[in-house]
Amino acid sequence: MTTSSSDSPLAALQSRLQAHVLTGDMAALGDVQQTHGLDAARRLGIYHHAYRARLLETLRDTFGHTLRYLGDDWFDHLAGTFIAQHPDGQRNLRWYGREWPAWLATTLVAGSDAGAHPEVAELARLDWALRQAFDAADAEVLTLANLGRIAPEDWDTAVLPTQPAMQMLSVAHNTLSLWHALDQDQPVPEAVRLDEPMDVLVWRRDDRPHFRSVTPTEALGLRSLQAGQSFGELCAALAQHGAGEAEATQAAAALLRRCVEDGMLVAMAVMRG
Amino acid sequence: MSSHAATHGSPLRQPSPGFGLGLRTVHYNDFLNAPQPSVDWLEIISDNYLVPGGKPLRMLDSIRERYPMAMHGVALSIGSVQGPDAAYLQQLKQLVDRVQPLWVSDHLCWTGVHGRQLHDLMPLPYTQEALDLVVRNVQQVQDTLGRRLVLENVSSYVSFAQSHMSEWDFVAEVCERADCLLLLDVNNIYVSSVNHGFDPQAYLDHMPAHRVQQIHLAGHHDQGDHIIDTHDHPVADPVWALYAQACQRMGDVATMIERDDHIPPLPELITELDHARHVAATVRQKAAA
Repeated sequence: MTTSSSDSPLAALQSRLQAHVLTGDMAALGDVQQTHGLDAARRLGIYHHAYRARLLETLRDTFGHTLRYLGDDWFDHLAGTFIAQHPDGQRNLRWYGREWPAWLATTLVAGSDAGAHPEVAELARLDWALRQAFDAADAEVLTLANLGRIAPEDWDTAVLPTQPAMQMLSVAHNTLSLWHALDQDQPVPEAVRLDEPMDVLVWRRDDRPHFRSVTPTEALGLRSLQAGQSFGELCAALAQHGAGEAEATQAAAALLRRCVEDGMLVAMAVMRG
Repeated sequence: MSSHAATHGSPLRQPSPGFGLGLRTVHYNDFLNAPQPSVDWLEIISDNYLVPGGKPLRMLDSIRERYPMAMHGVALSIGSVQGPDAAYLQQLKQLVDRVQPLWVSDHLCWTGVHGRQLHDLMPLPYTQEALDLVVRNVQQVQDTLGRRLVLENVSSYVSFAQSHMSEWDFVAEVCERADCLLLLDVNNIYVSSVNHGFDPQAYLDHMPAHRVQQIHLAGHHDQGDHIIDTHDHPVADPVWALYAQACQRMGDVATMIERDDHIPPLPELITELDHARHVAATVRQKAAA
């Protein structure tokens, strides 16, 4: 509880009440008027309980596939521990749970009660990325016609920004198969580690979040675009990855076409003409 | 700068736009696909649209083209000792510019201190210190938004040993001193009257009728020895009775029904809204007779 002797009576009261809501601290008991019906502890308990219920409901809503994978009991148990350790500092519940995937990654490890389940954190990361993509900032979508307005001599330095909703993830397990099975209410396969980590692209198109796995070359190119590198730098990065210069330019052009088709790039003023 | 900079000279409250509902995502298509003549206006939860972009804001803009809207927030924390958050107020102001709402409301409560958010409508003690603080905070918000704030009375489960005035005196005093308006939640009055054992009629009698801009109706969950304000049921009979008394005292006031959980199909809510219309019309006819 954060109180000091210099706090005003109201500030001290709010600190005591908040401490009760967050931790169950009972110092606020003396503030509650004992008048009618319920006793003071039960009255305070309504706020203590409502806080947990609201954050739990938020996590269950945001991490729907993680919830289906874990089941109600296990999810709620883990969420209860997480909530106790992570009071919220944001006014908008949209942001609650940002640390949940990383927390799962460090909680469901060998030696924990449930043993190692690294696929759970990956599922949660995907749930979170899709939810963020849903209401990420808008930007005008670049079209093939926009691209046609870039003069040949400008291509090398042209920067083609990605949509704010676009995100890149990497998974080490068959997390995408788990997600699809959970999404379609199909039998969920056993979680297995992949031979190589897989890159996953998340973006939004026509209001809806999407994701797909991408090849290592595509991932390299997408990360280059996301970092704000120019088309010339994108080609150089792909060439460095092992392709010859001509092949790299071809691969970069193919990547751009796919990005445009997926509505993943932002139209710049200079291209709109 | 005093609150008069924001409110001086403007008429105290706007004429009633009629009977409205809370806009909820499950009803987006009902409002977009066909006119809903029984719904005169919509109330949005402002905080649901304080997001960067995407479908929520696109839906908001489309539905706003078809309906007048009031903005109703849950995170202003007008009663927090730390005062209104400047960044939150700026976000709210941007949304006000976008929506051009009928009015902007939030709750007479606090939602967290020391950088924490409790996501709940925490009650205040009814003390001179709390009164002075809320008045100061309301004036600051009104100066930033350039309009009167509409404040809602909350349901509560605790009352404080420190309080030395009644909730109704506190609410009325805040409205007069801050020159703000009131969103009278009739269900909240009823819920708190049961939880704290006061007479809801006495509460109504002390409300500044000329400052009541809007009335909220909602359902609650009766737990036997107390009531929780859940918004997951139809409006209860004692709340309808209190609404009739409010209509009698306040006259023609914009009324809407809140449903936040177990949200039924829109026609069911419209039937409930038509009942509110009927209650208000009956009171008006009796008064005219």
